[in-house]
Amino acid sequence: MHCNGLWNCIMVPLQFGPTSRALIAAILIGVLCATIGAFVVLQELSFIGDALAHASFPGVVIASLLGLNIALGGAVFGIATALGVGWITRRSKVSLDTAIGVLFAGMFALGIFLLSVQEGYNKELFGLLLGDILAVRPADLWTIIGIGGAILLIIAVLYKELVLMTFDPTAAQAQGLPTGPLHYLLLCLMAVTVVISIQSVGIVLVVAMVVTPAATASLAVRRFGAMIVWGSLQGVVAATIGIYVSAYVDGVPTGSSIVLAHTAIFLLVLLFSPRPGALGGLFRRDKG
Amino acid sequence: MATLSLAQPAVRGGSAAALSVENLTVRYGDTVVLDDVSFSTGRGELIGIIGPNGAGKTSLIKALLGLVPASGTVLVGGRALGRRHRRVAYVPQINAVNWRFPATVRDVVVMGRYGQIGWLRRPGRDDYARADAALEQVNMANLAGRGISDLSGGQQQRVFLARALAQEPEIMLLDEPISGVDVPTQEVILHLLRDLSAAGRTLLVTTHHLQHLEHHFDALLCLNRRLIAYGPPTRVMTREVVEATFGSSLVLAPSPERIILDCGHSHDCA
Repeated sequence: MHCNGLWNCIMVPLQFGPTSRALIAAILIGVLCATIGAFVVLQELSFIGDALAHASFPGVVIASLLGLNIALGGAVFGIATALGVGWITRRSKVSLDTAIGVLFAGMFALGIFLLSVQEGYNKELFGLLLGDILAVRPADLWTIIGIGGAILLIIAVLYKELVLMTFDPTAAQAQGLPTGPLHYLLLCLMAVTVVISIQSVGIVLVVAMVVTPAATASLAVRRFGAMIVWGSLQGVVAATIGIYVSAYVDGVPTGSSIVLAHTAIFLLVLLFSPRPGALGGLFRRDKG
Repeated sequence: MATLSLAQPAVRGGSAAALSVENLTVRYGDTVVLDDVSFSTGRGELIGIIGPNGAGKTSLIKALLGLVPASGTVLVGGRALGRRHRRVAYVPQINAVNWRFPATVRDVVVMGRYGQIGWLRRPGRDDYARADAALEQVNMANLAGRGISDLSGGQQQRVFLARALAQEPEIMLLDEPISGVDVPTQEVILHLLRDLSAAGRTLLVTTHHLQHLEHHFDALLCLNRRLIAYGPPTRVMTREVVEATFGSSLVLAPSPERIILDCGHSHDCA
């Protein structure tokens, strides 16, 4: 793409249908991932999130080969893997992280196997692993709006319960909250978020969409609500930067440019954060 | 060995016991961690739960809260507890949570209201007013807006106390509230517990700091999987009870000052 002048450079990609759809989709996914990410980071669930993304791969492959909804296919395999992990840990002495490690690598390998028996699989594999948000069709955009909206609504409705469970699960239980079902609900919301984000940023990088904005926010703000707001704004900014970069630099996958934007913001905040523990603390004058 | 028969602490006012526990038994799989414990407390009593590691102190608290499956009867003010009750509050050990969680002191204290606010509703002005009153009671009102990551151990403990107070419970169950803080802070917290009991709250407190027992508690509950003894400190702290509770690792020095030496950590034992 070519442009002259700032305004023109902003408007040119938006006149191209797929790019403007991609921008909307990336922003929505950025906000959704950052919101769920605040819970995921504070409950230290990022490994499980990454595992779910990889485990959904065979479902994504099958759905893509049959022309079905990629998110739905991924969700089926993601949930099946989660149940499988529970089944293995209940039946044997295998620990949770080991069971996750075994199953998610196995499922990922199954996905590669299924894809590789097709012709010309390299291009497909690249698209699924690294994401191709410019291929988002209007129907996919509606899927993201519908499911993403439902997830945000559930979080809004159960906000205080989810926050208490995240901070102090035993106290939540002592106050009579059903912490078991709430925990599984949060895992399901995370799984669905990851799966509907795969199309835009790909399986390998989706965990960064969830973790990086929340991690950045935890350096910058002091309250949980502010963490969600910061993360969401960062999601919007990174999505916008990422879409424009991949519009103007030929061949750069959107997943890589969006995640790079998130990482750059994280590093900047880390350098200039006034919070103790961050590098900024080195440059701050001691008041005492 | 049978439970030593000691006088029950006198019930101060009110007809039904503040807390009445009968035949409480807790099993994890085939292991009995708490065997047939029965006791009752009067309103406003400050009760210390003592016993060696693995004696079931934490299991007793969790069973009273309904957090672990248990058999037996637990009555609060003569009635059983329902779901999302406010009548029994829990004060966990301060290392039970991640204090880098992004929240202010006030945010955490108002969480004590969440159980009774109910689904779909946000804490309102009234809930924040009660949270502020609770912070006042633990002398933390001036730190309400501070981030919890900046608190000392004693301040963290007082935040947890305030959160429990915001729940407006009849009974407070505290898990090692004077562990992990320095000695002056221990004194502050013990005096705070004394004030709360004087205000009519019934407090059950697990502790392994045996030097505070006689001065601070109305009654001691000596636990070693079963109830060894229960009564006022001066009556309970006999050689017989201490040995039955702690085994031979502790030695009780004679009067006038009763001091328990922990031979696991001291070289002064005879």
